[in-house]
Amino acid sequence: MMTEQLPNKGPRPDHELADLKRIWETPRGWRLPTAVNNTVIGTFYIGIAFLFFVLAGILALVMRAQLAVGDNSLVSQDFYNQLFTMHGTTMMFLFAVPAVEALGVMLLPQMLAARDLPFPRLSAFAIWAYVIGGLVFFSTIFYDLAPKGGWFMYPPNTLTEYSPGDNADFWLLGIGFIEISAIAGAIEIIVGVLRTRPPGMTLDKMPIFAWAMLIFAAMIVFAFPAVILATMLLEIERAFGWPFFSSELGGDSLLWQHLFWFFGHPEVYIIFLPAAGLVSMIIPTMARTPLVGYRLIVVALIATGFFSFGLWVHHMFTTGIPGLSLAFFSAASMAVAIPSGLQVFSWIATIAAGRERLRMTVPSLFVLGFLFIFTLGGLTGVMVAVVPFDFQAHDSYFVVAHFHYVLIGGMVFPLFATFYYWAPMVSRKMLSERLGKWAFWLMFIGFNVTFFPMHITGLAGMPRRVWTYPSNLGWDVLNMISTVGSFVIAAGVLVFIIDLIHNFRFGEGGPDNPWEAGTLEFLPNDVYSTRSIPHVTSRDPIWDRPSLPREVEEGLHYLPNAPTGGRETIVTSAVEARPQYVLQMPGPGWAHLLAAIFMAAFFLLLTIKQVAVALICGVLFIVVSMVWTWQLDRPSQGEVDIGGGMKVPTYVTGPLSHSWWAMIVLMLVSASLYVSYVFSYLYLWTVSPDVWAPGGSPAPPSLLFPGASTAMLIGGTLLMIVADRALPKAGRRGIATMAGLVLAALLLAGAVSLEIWGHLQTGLDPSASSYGAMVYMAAVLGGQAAAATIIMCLFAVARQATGQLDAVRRVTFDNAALFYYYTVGQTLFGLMLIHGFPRLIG
Amino acid sequence: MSDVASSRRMMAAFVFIIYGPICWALQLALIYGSQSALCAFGTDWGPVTTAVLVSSLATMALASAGSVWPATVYRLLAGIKAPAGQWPFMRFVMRLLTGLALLAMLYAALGALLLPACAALR
Repeated sequence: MMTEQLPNKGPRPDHELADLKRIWETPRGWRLPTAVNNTVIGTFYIGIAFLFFVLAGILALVMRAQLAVGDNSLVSQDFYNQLFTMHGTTMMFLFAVPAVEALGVMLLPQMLAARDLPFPRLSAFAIWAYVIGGLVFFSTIFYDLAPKGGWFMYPPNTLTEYSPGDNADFWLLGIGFIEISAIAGAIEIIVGVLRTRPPGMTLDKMPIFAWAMLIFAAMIVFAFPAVILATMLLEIERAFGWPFFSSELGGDSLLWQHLFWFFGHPEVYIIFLPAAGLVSMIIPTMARTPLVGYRLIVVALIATGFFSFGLWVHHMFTTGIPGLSLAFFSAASMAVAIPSGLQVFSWIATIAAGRERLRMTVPSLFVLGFLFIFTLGGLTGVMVAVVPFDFQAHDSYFVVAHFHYVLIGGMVFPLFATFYYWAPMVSRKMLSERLGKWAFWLMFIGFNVTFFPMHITGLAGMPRRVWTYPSNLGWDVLNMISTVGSFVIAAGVLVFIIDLIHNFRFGEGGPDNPWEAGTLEFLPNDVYSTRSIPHVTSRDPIWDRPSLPREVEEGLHYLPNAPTGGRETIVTSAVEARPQYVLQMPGPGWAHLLAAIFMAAFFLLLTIKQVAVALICGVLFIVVSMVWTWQLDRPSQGEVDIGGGMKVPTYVTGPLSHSWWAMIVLMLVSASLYVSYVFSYLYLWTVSPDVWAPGGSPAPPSLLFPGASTAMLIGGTLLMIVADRALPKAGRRGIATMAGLVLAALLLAGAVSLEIWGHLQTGLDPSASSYGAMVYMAAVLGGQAAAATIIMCLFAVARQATGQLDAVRRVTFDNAALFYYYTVGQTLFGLMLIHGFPRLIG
Repeated sequence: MSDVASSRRMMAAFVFIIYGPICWALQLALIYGSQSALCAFGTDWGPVTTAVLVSSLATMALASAGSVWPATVYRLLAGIKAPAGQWPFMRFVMRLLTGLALLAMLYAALGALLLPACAALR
């Protein structure tokens, strides 16, 4: 692109920059918590995630002190169980996933040169929910209330009979709700990567980190619902005695393992893939050459993400599953090694292809440390994927060594590289190279001293998850070495913290592009991101067009101003990144913050059985969510000129709009949850086909019940179609649409109620058998989806009653209709399963 | 192009890219599901092996066909020809992913020829 072809001409009017600064200004003082700017909340997010890393690390130090010598009693057995449960849970749920999501929130808008991600308040909501829930959850360790069942919480150990008290409930409700926050973040990231890229940034020019985050978020969408369902089932069994996991009543504790590991194994890659994406961004800069094998790395990221869903049974090789089933999952475990290897070779090739020797900066050191450690962890991963070897090494310290090599090598080292590499983006000062090198070497040496001996300890027979061990088994020296190593790691982290205190100063004005990188996040930026949104023509735009930073700063590219007078960014098409419209974005506010507080209160109060207060908080959550949502659907400001002769609309609806895409992702989340339920239903049938339903159970309700429910669902769908067609012209109000929405909502409620009533009429007891529990669980899930749909329909009615919904301004209606059709589909499928399957198998 | 067609095309591009892994997921669901169900019914080697091999062959054929005729797959999904600028990239990624998926599918299917259908290994 030549200078004379730039989208806008200069010099730009002075007021444009002042307008941008005013519109995007970060709230100060007591209003700071209302901030939604990605750099502010992203930095806060990563800060809290790092706090949890330190806290979980301290728990690990106490554990290592206990294990330093045999027959030790530094901490009690019961407290040790709390320690290792909280260490694993905090590291996985409160540090690793949030840290990666935080990097997405912080870095993606900058890498994509978007003003912000498309749902800034959703990001802020997810962060506050995580902060409040995470801090309360972690504090349970101080009150002897922490869960004790391991981060995997296997039943029957975690059923009320063996784990009385509230400890396990804190895990089930606390973590379940933090997962909702992770899903909210994932929706934001998917829509952000697909729709807020700069013009010209086609799929083959996307930064690898954006690819990695897209796959990361898609994996959350499909993996997290499985563990959300698992936590629902276990909490319901603990609270109401519905026997999903009790074998004497037809349940099976292995069902938990299936659901947990269907989430748990992809979780490893959910953490690793973004870290690999970060490495793919850092290496080219430090080697001063474009990434070798860009297309291969994209293939590797997608393949790893996909295959990781076929590995879950490799955590269950010793549970007595048929050998042929093990072979299926062993095959997938081997297959996933190929794409991981592809990435490693691409990185090595990039380093080798550099025009000069790799610059040995602190980010480079952490990346090289990652390569060494992660490769070793990958190799032991292939070992435990071999079924006979796994039979020997299962539940031993060998496995502890393996997964720490993968997780710390694959995620923590790249994260520290990231801290040093991207700190100038949000800090006025760079972090210290000298302190950084000390931190790296202490962590690298400490890590290997800690975890390498565990391979030998494990092969020598030491089981994992033990509080202590007899001191005459030859494990003492190896354990002492591991303990010393763990304190060396802690010293490395401490040096990093000292570096942060000395040098990290939040705010703009840091050095521009200190590493001479080629990607967009190193363009000059401010609270509004870049002054103008660049037209992208290559993968390393700054390298290929050295004048780009100046052009962008002078406002010569797209959207150098704020034509709608508010926060906005350009939405482009998902494949070819062609500008489609200008998205009007919300600014700071209290509603999403209050929503996070009330949602956290709802879940946490349920944990301690304060049901009435919890329900009040639940209602308040819905109310403030309505207030939040009410402010979003802003009217069109007409077409605006973004430069390059392009005039684009400021309001779109239907499949083109970002909210429609977010609804599609939300429906995928709901569908994943429901598919997990269908799997659970069929799984329990395969475990006990002879008692499905158990002898003495009442016959299923007459087919008239599901028939009537089906008629109501179809009637509701037709009413929604009629309501759609009856939407009034712009600025008018129409009774027909409101009546259609209310009637459709009533029919949906009626269909679900009739289904429950039918089973109650037969006398089927959900606590008498797993069959009964599964039947009612279908209604619970149907009721959950119906409740959300009904709220959306009534919200649309209120919008229309106030003149804010018509045939043009119709996003609220479209979203309600989309979810209505989904709920009808899910409920119809549920009716076929619950009423058809028992009759089919006779 | 209408909004719906434009969005369909955008989504089709992503489904097209992951065509091979989708075939792999289908194979895993079919072989694991059929084996678990048939074992629950008390059947043994013959029907299980047949179900696993037939499912595998069908899904592998589907994946192979897509890899040979990627343009047809894209047209079926999107309703129009692929965008010329992005086609080489999308085709490369799709074909390589399908190749990896075929390898994983072959590896999983081989187990049916070597192992007992429903018995545990120890």
